Amino acid sequence: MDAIGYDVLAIHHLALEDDPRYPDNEEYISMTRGLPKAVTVFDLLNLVAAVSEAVGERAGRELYLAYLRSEEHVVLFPPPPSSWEEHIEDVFPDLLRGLDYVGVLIERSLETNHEVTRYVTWNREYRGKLRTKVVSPSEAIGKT
Amino acid sequence: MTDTVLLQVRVNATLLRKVDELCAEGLFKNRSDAVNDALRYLVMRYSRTSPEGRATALYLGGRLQKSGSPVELVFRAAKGRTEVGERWTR
Repeated sequence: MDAIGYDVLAIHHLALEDDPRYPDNEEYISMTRGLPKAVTVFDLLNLVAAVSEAVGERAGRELYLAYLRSEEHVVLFPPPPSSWEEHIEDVFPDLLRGLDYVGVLIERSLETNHEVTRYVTWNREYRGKLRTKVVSPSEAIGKT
Repeated sequence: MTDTVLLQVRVNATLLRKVDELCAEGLFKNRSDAVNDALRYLVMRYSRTSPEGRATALYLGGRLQKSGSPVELVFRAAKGRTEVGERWTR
């Protein structure tokens, strides 16, 4: 099962047709329609911010609730930290190998579901840093 | 004095044994005290005022009704040009 990054979802939900990534992005979204998919809560929250800024807060709220209710998406929440000390100890090793903080949170979320085999994003920074395989939508549809 | 009512409910026996252990350890005075604490937590959790907070609590509790797909939700940006994330050309 794929977990989808917020950038891929934002390009779709905002219909960014002028973006050169749009055709492959849409092909990927079409290809996975009806299939089970995952999205981390951090990607979903970033999506809410992107859509709220571009369209308005009503759209952001609507999208958040729609993903929670979605029949084809599972929203991944990592276990909440029991203390800040524990959280810092947990995230620090990944930060030291250059993964940014949001990336660590995404990683922790992906680890909660063993069916996730790929993280689909346009963000090349996560390639080789997330333990989950990272692919772009172009790669996911077999264009590269 | 706080108004109280008698509440007769069926509960999981294993769970009740754990509650009794917590009472024996002195965390609660008795079963009523423990149940009151649990009910306070429950009410607090589901009484969040924002729809997002309430829906999140229901989702995490496996109680949110599933319906449809958000894929159909496409919005047109109203505030000029929007860019998302880093460009990763194929």
